Amino acid sequence: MAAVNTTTMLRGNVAARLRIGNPVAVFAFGLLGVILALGIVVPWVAGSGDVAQQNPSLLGPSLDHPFGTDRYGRDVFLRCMAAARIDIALALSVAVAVLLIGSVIGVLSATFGRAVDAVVMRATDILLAFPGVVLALIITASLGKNPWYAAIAVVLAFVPLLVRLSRSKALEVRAADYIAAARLSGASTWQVALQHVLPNSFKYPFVQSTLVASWAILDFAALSFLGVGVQPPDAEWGAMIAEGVGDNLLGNWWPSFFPGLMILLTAGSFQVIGDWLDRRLR
Amino acid sequence: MTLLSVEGLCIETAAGVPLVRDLSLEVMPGEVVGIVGESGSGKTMTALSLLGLLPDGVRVSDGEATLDGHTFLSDASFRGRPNATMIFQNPTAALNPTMRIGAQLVRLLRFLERGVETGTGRRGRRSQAIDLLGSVGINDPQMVLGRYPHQLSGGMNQRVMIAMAIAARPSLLIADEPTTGLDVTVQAQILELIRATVAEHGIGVVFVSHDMGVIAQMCQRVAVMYDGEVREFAGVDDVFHRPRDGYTRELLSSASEQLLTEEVGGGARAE
Repeated sequence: MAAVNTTTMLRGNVAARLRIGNPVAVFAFGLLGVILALGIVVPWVAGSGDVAQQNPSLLGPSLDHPFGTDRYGRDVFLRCMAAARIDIALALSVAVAVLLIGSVIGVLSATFGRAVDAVVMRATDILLAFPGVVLALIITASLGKNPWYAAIAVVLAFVPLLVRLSRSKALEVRAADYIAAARLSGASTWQVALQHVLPNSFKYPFVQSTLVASWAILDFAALSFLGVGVQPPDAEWGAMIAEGVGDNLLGNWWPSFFPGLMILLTAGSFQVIGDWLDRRLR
Repeated sequence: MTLLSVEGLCIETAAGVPLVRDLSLEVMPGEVVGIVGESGSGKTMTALSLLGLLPDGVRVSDGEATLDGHTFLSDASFRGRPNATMIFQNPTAALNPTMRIGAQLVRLLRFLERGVETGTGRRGRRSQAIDLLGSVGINDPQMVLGRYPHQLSGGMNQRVMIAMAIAARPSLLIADEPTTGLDVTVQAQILELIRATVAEHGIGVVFVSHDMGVIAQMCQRVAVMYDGEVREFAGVDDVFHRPRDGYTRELLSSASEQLLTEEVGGGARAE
């Protein structure tokens, strides 16, 4: 019987795997890294500077106050950085929660046959019938004004999307020969779902979850803008825009412009990273 | 004594379209029985139905199947898992791409030992896995255990599949075009391995193929299928030299061109 030799095969090059490659993606990672680092360091150094009303109100951007001050005399830069901490932490935790809940429910729905699938799909139909922000608004309005409720509402708004996505990928995976082989070697339906179907369909919801992070920032900012998310005097980008819109009429653009810019840059970075991951994992 | 006997097997889709009609088949211990036919003739559905692996929306509507004197399929309901395993057409797709070969083998061995307190630990199973891979002609099992399926060749993966199939000590092995995706040299090696393995363990084999050359090389008896029906079930010499059915003759004449040009490795058929 012919013996077969495998020693010539090479393991993947770790350095090559970690290289980002695409310059736009490098920029997005860098930008997000800088915002995150500033969000961690600046509030730590400045203490409660973000809520202290210690300056003249509505100073334009200058060296002392790079983003100017708002109508209450608070430094907009310090507030933007304090908000970065909340917003990025929220975006990442919403993305992780949505990814875990959505992919597990999706995979179970695809693996456990028609009855379970029908129930899960009707539930997602109902949730998807509401636009995300409206659903989140209903939930926070009925539960109360609290950033935690807003975060839960955002999670609930995005879970059905990932359930759908991971279910459709799981249905593809479920037809593969190795699933038949696993069933044949005695794996239970739970084992098939969690050990074989989930790991093999995980990358699609994983890529999608980076986009969920960017949408979560937008939705959370929208909820805070509407006054049901982060409560004053705490800083949050959407809430800061809401506080600053009135000042635009008199030409004081900076209290609302800079938080808007932060939302754009952060959400944009997550989108670019999602695109890059999508191409990378394909 | 018959190892596997299938009587009047009928398979249909949910809409009632018949895929296999009144199929009967038998396999003796240690015998290789071929099922041959063109695409869509129902040969793969027959194989899958014997393991309860039919795809969604396809079901057995009638028939009875007995393995080792144990009836596992009767009146369209599946009663208990038969002691049978399967090797697939595309071995690389039949192994979980996100698990190393070693992990897959260890998981299988752990399942096979379930309920029995053997005291075999992680180490013990790993060395069992190494022995298994050695027994299917893999030179450096240690290396293969640490690999993912996509890092191995199709032939190597098929060896791993065969190792996993025999680990369960089945009395029946179902091979669904096990060499179709492999090149000719590797095909000859894998066929030789299947032949040697089943002879060693006395396993009966249902060998599904559309390749008359491979069937001639491997099988003692052949069932020729066309449009969901067995047109002829006889010894391989009879089918090849004295075909009684019109369709068999057509199939042979269309395959003869291929047979002449193809070097049939090994030559002797397992008797």
